[in-house]
Amino acid sequence: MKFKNLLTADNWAVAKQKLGLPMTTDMRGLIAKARERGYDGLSFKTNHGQEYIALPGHTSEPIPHPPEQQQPSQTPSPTETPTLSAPSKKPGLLSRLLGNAHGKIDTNVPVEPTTPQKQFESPLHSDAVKDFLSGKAKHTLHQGTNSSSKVGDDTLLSAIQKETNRDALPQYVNDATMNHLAKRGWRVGYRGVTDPKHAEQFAKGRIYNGSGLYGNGTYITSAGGKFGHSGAKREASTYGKEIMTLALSPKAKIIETGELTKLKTKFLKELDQNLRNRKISLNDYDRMVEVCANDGRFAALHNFDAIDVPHRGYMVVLNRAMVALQHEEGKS
Amino acid sequence: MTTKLTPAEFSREAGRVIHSPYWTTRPKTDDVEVVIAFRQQREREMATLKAALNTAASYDDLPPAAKAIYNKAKAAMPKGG
Repeated sequence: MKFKNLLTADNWAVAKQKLGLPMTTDMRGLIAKARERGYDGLSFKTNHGQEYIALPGHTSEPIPHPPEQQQPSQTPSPTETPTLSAPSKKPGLLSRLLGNAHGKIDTNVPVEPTTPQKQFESPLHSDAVKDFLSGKAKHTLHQGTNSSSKVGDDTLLSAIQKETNRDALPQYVNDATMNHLAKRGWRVGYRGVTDPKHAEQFAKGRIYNGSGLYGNGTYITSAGGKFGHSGAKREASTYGKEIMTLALSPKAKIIETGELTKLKTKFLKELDQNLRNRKISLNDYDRMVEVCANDGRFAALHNFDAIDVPHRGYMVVLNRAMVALQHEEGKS
Repeated sequence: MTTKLTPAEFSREAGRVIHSPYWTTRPKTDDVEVVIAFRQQREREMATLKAALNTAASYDDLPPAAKAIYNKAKAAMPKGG
């Protein structure tokens, strides 16, 4: 393999320095930045000697690395079904570095998203909400009665997440790292899905926000909650045999569902008052009530990363960028 | 019918019912106080239903008042899909 523009460094920490990246940047961030700067390859020393990484998009040569490490430059459109190649049987450099192949702990999983996240001063400051109120953007806020309905995605919530970078891809970690994160205060949970494609979509595709009693978002059963560890996994399996193990960063802003209800009551009373005082039109009032009718959207517009439902043992995740993900195929 | 649903299916359906257009589809009027009173009434109903759904594993577990609200909300949902 020949490289036209190879970035060479003594080790990957130096590579990060050369690109002006903070030390907390993970391998994915390093690769993304190198690609952005126009490099077609990375080279540095590891315990295995001098290693080379070809950067997709800058070479027509075969890329000898597992597909699970290659970040798609774009998420699929809503009409596309995200597909993944089968992982390589031979662990590549990235797998070895991140420990995915040998169960090595990755101690570099960032507790905060690598991309900055917009914070709303108020829900009315959201561009997604403004576009919805003005009619510039259309969203279906209600789902059909049929549980297999295809009209299941909350596209307004997705737009809010996209606006704030909360739709960024999760960190992909191995079993050992997941255990490590649990000891470091990450909140571990499980999600059962019926189709492996749904797990793949969460890992690498367009974000999908399903419905639930406690608001739209991504539901997980909390391992530290009422079900306990194995009970949470069992509970998740009642929703689908494909089990995903997730962990939410200790930096995530989480609100309990009861507190969220209180916050919503207060917000809606203020909205009532704004209507009385003509600070908001009747049309905007109606639409804001619709927007806030869903706890997931309401929480996201108040900058929360998840809703905790302790009495049910669930969490509703609203910020995928705050998640570490371990996928266990076919296990329950 | 909701009585034949498994707990997981019922949970999914309840998640949709609780976000039915029932809660926000109000009578046509420009009277601000009527509009606000409608919203507050629906908020109370939703609180009643949600409290019942918190502990119900099936439709049959719901008390009569919550069942009535559930049925109205479900009837207002988009059909099919």
